[in-house]
Amino acid sequence: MPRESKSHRPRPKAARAIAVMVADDRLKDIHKLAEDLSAKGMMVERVLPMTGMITGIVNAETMPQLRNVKGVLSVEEELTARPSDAPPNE
Amino acid sequence: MAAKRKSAKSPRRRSARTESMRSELMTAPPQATTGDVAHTTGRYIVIYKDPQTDVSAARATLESAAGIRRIASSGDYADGAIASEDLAGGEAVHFDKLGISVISGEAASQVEAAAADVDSSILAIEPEYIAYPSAPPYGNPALEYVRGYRDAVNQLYEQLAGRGDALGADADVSATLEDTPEFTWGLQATGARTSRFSGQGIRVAVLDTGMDLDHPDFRGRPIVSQFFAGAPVQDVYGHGTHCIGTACGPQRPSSGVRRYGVAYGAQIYAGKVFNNNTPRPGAPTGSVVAGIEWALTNGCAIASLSLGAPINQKVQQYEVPIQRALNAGLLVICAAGNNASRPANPGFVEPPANADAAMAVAAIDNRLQIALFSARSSTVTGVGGIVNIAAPGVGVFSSVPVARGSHGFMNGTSMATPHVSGIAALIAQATGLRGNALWSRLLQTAKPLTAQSADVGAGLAFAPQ
Repeated sequence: MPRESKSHRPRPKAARAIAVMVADDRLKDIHKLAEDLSAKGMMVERVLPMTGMITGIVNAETMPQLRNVKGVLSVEEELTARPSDAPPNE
Repeated sequence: MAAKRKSAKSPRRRSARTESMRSELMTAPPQATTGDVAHTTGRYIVIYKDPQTDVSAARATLESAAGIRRIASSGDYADGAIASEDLAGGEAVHFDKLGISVISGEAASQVEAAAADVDSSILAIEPEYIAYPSAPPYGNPALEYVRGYRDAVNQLYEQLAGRGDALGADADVSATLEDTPEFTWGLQATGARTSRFSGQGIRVAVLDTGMDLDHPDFRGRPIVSQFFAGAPVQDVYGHGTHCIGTACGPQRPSSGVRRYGVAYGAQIYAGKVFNNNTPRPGAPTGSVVAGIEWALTNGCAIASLSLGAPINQKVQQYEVPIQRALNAGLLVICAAGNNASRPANPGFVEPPANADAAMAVAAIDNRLQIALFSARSSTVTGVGGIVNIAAPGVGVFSSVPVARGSHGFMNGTSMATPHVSGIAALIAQATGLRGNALWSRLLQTAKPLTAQSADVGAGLAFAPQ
């Protein structure tokens, strides 16, 4: 079967779980900021007003655009932590 | 030694402090000989009870005590700076602003005799010591070289000597602790065994895999709990129950086992920030930070996070929330990580422990040596990536879910972290300190270890007695 030329194959949209940090001066209207992010294509899952974090899902291409939103300190892929127990043998 | 102010009390009465200083002076002052650590100039410093003592008052005192007549005053010299040559030959020099005099060795015993009188204006007399600079004379680049050389030699020694006697080679056998029927070795090592504090009144949040809410040792103990990652609080993995046990387990476990908990009087907040995925559960940052907000909302003083992601980078998703939490008075205590495989690989402190505002905890074993898996301070994540403190993390006995046998042993910086969290609760109760001040107190009261600070920070966390 002939391979599709790369230029014709549509790129898969990669969904990313992200964590957005909010600047001090926008903490007071963090929910408005969350709406701004949503308007740019982020599916907002969690808004944490005390620590200033908004988490959710976004397409990979959209991530850089979110960084330009006023009040956004950082946009990072959300980490997954594991328990810090070590194997039984030293 | 500061001179005392004139007191309104009868001049015949001496304070206890003066008495103790005088009795110290009864011992012969050290002579300057080679081989002595302390070196003296042969001169003596006279300190007056009145810090305002001026040169004429000093002259009156020293003349009547030892016949000293020629006294130069620092006020006679430009800028108050006196050349040491002027101190030779039986003269004295008086420093007006400090209210002290420097006299020659020949006059010292007479002045000391006069000072013994209760009415003497002299508070104390002591030998003038020579201080040496603490830095090498050849400047910083050479210091860096020597430091690098030292580190290289240490590493080589570790590799050659193996596990047996390397770090802490001077740690003797008596430093090995064992569990007893009454206490875990960890409670002994950290002084929690003998502490009169329980953490009463302090709220401790343990953000982890949850809690076995049916555990017999916790029956009747109020536990506030909440889940954040979609899985119910009940602990199936077993880790959270073990950590909560170490941090806050009961003083006398009803199951009859040895005591394994530090802050048995603290209020437990069990936050389930992990999902129930197998084989290993995961905690998305959003869930962990939601747990931190919950701890803040509920007035917790401490959040214990025995979790991490094995990347050697700072991440804003932990830096910023944890800084804001600390600013709000919540001390966030995190496991340094188990990504080391010593001696070949020292590892690095992981996020969230590598956040500037997070306290990073290393694990030691029952010989007070660094655990082979315990991560060393990172060389790339700045201040945050430094190990701050250490605690027991090998062969730690604590509670586990009933389905897994109710009690068991675990290893990890996961186990060290709740030791520190429990001790933090004891200190918080004892002192009322919170946030940054509580952080400082924990480090100030840690016991020094022979292990290097890159591995154990300030040393072994220790409970207030």
